[in-house]
Amino acid sequence: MDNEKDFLKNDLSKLETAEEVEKLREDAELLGHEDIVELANQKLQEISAKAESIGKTSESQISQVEKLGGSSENLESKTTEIDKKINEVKTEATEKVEEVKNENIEKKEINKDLIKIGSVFDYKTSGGNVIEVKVKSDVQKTNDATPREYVRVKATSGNLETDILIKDLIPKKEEVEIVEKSLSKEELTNLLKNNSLKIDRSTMNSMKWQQPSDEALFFVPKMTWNENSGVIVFSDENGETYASKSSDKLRSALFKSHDYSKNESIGVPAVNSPDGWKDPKFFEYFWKNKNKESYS
Amino acid sequence: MIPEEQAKKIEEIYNEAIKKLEDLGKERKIIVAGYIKELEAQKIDAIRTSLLK
Repeated sequence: MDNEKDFLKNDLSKLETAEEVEKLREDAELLGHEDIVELANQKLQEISAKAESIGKTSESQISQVEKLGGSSENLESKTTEIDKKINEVKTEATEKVEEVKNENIEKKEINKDLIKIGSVFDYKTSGGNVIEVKVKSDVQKTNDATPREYVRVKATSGNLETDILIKDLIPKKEEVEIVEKSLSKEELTNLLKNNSLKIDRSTMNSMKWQQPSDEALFFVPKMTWNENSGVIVFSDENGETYASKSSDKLRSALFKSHDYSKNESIGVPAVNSPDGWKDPKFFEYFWKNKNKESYS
Repeated sequence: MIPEEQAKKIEEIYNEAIKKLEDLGKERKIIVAGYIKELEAQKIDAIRTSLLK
């Protein structure tokens, strides 16, 4: 317990915002909760052992009863009522202890449903460049989150209802940074390239793009990008073409960039459309890497 | 409820349950002892009856 206190004390001294303090408070509750679970289980075991020991007639008494011509059945019938009361005390205590033990767990689970997990962005463009990016509405988790890695999200206002990879959603703090601060060209290029798959010319020649035409990808202009469900394709300043998993962070960074511009004519196959990928390694790439920590 | 309050509450529930169980345990012992005394009395009566015959 002392170690936990020290740990929390050290952590507390590093916190700067009310949100960070609140998060630590929740973590502290969970840390303390492990001790509560241990205490509760120990007490329940002791109550159970006590109930069992007093609800049992000793062997010597049973033997004495039998020697005197009585029977264990008769003895049992005389103790039925009291044994019932013993069980009631045990059951009642167990229920009460479990209720106290689970109090913070239930609170935590309820809170989880209320936690914001992402945002829908709205943006304004001028001359092909994004001039303003702002949070349009919060995205909250709903109950039909399957499979685990993805959540079905619904915007609190607006019409978005889709599956989003949890890891791709932007934490609130980081989201503010993205909205308020433009990434430099180098930062953005590194962000893009570190998490993307370079598409070389020979591979491009073997790829079949469904929309809008097979030709489109061959001519991804330098410093342009486009997105289809789950995939972002872009070309860097040297004309090298890359494909990347979509994420709010990457999309937002591209929109904000004054160097990259969106080009709707670039054909991008959907990630969940294997027919769109003539070369299966691209389709495999996205699915094999779906657990990879993206863009952090 | 903070962990300290939870621990206190669990201790209270535990102490109350143990006290109730101990009282019920005493009551149960009295019931068993009463049954044994009853059997002993029956046995003594049976011996007395057989001696008087």
